[in-house]
Amino acid sequence: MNSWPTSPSKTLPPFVEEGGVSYCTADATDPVEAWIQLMEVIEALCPQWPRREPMLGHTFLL
Amino acid sequence: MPRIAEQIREALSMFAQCKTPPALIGGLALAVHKVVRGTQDVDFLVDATDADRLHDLLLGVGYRCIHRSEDAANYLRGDEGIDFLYAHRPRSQQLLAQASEHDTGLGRMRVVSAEGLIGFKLQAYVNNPKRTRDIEDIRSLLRANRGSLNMDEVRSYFGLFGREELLNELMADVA
Repeated sequence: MNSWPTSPSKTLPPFVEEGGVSYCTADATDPVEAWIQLMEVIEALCPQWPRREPMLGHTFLL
Repeated sequence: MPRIAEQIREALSMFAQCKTPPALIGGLALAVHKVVRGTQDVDFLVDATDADRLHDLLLGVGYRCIHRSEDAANYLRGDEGIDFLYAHRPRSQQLLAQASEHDTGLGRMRVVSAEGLIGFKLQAYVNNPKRTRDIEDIRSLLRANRGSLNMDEVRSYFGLFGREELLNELMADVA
């Protein structure tokens, strides 16, 4: 069953899947503002963040 | 305002003391290039000559250094992390120099180009192939910026890491 609500705008993101499915903003939307709004929701749902893996590796060519 | 936004604002204020203002890379930089996803990643490209100055500033506001090499560093304060890649090779120094400035809700910040971001995402994936998220980010960047990317530059990064075939697969996906 597809319980996903019908969105009035295709620019609205799907909810949360592995930190949020990426989506492209419409040209008129400030993408950083969109990100801030998304993070408000994510932080409300997950106030304690999982620990990040350190940036390890040996192949730094850039 | 989410907590991560306050963390970024604090970092941007510290960057005023750097010789060269660092540029945003990583998950949040995706947003500036039209790809929005949730991320706790706060990553910046920093001139290597600013590394010591920035290290002292970060310790001064409560971060502890959990890893530092000539290429990268990771800092942690509670559950807030901030990572840096050090620009000391010609390509990264050029990407830092060419980073564009953006006025955002988080303040004025410099952001690496979409092509450069693809290069750094590829480098992260090569260093840790379990990070398939980076490949998904590259695919999203290719799709969102189709028509405006300098594909010669993008190809040069895939060539640098010997992953030309991967780029062909990704381009077939977004075509």
